[in-house]
Amino acid sequence: MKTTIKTLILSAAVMAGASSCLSLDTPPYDRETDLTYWTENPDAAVNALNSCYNTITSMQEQLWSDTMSDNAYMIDQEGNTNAIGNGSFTSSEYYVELVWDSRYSGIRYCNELLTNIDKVPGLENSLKNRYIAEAKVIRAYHYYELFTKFGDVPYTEDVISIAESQTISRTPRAEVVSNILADLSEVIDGDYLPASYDEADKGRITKWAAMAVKAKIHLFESQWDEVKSLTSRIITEGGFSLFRDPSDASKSYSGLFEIANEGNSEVILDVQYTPYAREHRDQYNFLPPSLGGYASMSPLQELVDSYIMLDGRTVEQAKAEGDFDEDSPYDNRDPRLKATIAYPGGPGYILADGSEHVLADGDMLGEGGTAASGVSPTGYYFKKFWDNTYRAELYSGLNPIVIRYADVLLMYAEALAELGEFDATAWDLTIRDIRSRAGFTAASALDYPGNDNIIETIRNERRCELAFEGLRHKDIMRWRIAENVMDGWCHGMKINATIGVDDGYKRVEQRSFDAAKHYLWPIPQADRDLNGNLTQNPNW
Amino acid sequence: MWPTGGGASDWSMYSGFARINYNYDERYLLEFNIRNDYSSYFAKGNRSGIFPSVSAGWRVSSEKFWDRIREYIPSFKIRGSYGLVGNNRIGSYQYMQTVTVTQGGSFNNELVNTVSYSSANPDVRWEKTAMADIGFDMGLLKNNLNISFDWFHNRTSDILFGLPVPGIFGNGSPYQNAGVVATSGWELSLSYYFKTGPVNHTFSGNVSDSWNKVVDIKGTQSISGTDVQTILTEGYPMWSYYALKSDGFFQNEEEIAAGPIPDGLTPKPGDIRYVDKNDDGRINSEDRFIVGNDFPRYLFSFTYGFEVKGFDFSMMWQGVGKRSKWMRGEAVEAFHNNNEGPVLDMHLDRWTPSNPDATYPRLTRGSESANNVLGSDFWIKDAKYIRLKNVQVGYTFPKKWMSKVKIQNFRVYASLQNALTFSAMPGGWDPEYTGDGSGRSYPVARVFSLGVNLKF
Repeated sequence: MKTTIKTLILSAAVMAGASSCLSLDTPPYDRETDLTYWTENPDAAVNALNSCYNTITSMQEQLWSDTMSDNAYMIDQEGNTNAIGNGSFTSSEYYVELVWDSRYSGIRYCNELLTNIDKVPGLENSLKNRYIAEAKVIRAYHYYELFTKFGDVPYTEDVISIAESQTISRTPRAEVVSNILADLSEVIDGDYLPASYDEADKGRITKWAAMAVKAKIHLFESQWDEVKSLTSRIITEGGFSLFRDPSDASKSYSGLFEIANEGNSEVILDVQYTPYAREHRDQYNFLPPSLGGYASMSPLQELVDSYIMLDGRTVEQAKAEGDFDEDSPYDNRDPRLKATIAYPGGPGYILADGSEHVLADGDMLGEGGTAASGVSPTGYYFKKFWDNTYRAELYSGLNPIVIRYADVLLMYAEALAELGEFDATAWDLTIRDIRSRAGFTAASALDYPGNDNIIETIRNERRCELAFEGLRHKDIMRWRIAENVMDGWCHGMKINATIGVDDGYKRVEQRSFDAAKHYLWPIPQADRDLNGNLTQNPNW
Repeated sequence: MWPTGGGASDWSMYSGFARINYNYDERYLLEFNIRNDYSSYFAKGNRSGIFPSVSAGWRVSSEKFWDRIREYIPSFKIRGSYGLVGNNRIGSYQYMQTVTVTQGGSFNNELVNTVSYSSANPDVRWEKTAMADIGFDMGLLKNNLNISFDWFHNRTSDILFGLPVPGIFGNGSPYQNAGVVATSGWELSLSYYFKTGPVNHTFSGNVSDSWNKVVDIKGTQSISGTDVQTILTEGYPMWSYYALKSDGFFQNEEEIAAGPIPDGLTPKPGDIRYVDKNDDGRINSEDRFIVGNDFPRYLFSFTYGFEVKGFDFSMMWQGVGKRSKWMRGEAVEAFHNNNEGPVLDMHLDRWTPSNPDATYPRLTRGSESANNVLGSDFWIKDAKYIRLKNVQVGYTFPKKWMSKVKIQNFRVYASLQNALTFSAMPGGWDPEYTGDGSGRSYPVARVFSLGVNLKF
């Protein structure tokens, strides 16, 4: 048999890819590896700590929080809080998962620092203790945000592996609370944090902020003695005072939230944003269209109604006594109403050049209460956190305040009232000071009214003073009043079309709140799908 | 004002390869390759990958015994190949947690350094795919009719996935060598050129199908997505749809009382009823089924054209024989986002007490919609289609006229893209759409064009 090999080619080569002859061990030079990061640079600790600060909260989280309460309404858009507000959310709700994921991401940042800080060379002991203390307060704040929403949550102080994250189970709520309280006690009792910082570090957690965070946890747990002792220490030793505009008392309350007065005498902890470099754009979501906004969040009539009369009576009392003018409902009201909320015919937004921008026709509800695109469905707009130094597209570097002195005063007042120890001295220290700063002058509003209904008065003061600052949601949860205030129709302003229904106030949305279920959020289904040990909350 | 992003990285790969080619008389063709790659993308110990492959061809029509039928089948070749290929396309440093320092924070309006930690998997290594293919090429009718067919089976092991990780992990999903996925398929193509009198015809067609199955992911499963949920689990195609099954509409309060109803919701007549998979009387995430996937099956395209006396005509049809697409949000829900979503003609046949056999539930908005917008197969739509993608007519003026005005070639034509579509997609949504199922995509445009080709 004749065979001919026509072609036989054998080739072989050795190639080295890439740009040059490099070893296969290619350590990065634009970043560090985990192995070298902690051991080489003394700044490793503070850089890692600074990252934890970015996780505390955001302007968005703070504003959105009130839309899950009877203060505000959020229109229904993908991924926002609308379904939580109206009670139709499920265990797959995007925002629930977002809160869960971002809190655990924040906890991981804290745990990275806390488990590695011992490797960092050249750290002076007191500085190291301060860093540890700052991170522990931030971690405690994360767990506080988690347990107040989810109840039992997985608790870890380690940088966990993927395998661990797939098997970790929920820690009983009481254990989570006691762990973070122990951390905070250690930080406070060890005096690891300074009372204040120099200019370069202003915005970091002080000992007062640590105490205030601890007070908030006790407040949620109705542990009034602890709330009282912590807040009274902040009041007597902290050196804080309610912000007052030295030149114009009528601007004291509104000025508190202006960028010119950032870090004022009232601020205990705020989220650090920076004009140009680190900004948020959340005012876009509450400003009227005439200012370039799209009001997906808007104040409810229920919030408007909570602002008392200048003489100290509630709107209800004034109505009952025939002293409420339905045609001018915003006259003679708590000055914080017009500082917080824009309404037709009311004072407008002050622009950077000092001129006033009042609501335009295009910002108003249409025939029958309809709202065009971007127009507030309630007819009201928020003013608090409006930053007139905004740049194009409404970007702003304004810091949202996480904890301020007025909040501490109101926690103190509530604790005393719950303990039955509230009196004229406590009134003058707290409510009187707050109301007088707000612009009340009538004695009937400023003088101690006695203890009749005092808890209600303090709760309402808290609502008005702190509206839109992200506190109302937790307040209605801890007061267990959500089934009363979050069930049924929520309302916008009075419109003529529906007279006879709800006194003519616009029905904005029907909400429902099931007390057997909604006091806890569901554990996100996405995490339960990946971790079979995560149980679900009751009735979810 | 804004910090500009940037980065730099090194990667390297050492490779060696060898090849043997053997060709006997243009009848027997054999090629063997082997390569060994070392990639810096993996940690020491995991860097090496050895990837051999072999391919063979037999040109049967060149054999002596073919002489008798060469007149009918001028060319016929059988071929086959088998080989391993590696995939390391995951980028640098995935195996070690790196720390990046940037000016990402601020105090008192002055920027400070912050760090970010990459999500790393120290054990990551080569993904390998074993690929087997056999096929033939055949020429008939003086090679005017060409047919080729291929069948393939790929088995990818150590597949590199960014499998979802629990939120509790607190960082992103690193690549993992997650398991074994098998993909099989076939493809048939055909082209035919023929003449009838003065008319020249060309016809070509192509039909293919492929399907995949997750063979092994170490017994785990992962579910991802919020509105549209997909599951990665053994025995099913990758990222299959994972949804409740709808079971018609509740017709009255008695049926609702009989349930099952979703946890925490109170449906009303006209709302979707769901199948209670685990028979516990409640509808929740435990009741999800695997209901298809959005991989297209039976893809086909055909073109036909003819040319006669300067006139030419061509058209191209394409389509998919089987595909599901989960639509969501404003694409299918009336009044989605309370009142911002559109209402489409598909919502006209809505449930009312007098229209119990409707194709759409009762009209709802806001929290009233909660029952119906639960992720269910009600929203998974049949996306098979056939489309006349392009049709064109033209006329080329005779050369003898044109040469007088020094023009080499002069053709005028009219064409129409996306001329016709036959599809069951509701709301007129494009069946070729591959996005997330929302309405936020541009529809395909029907393009009319008139043109002139001039060549001097």
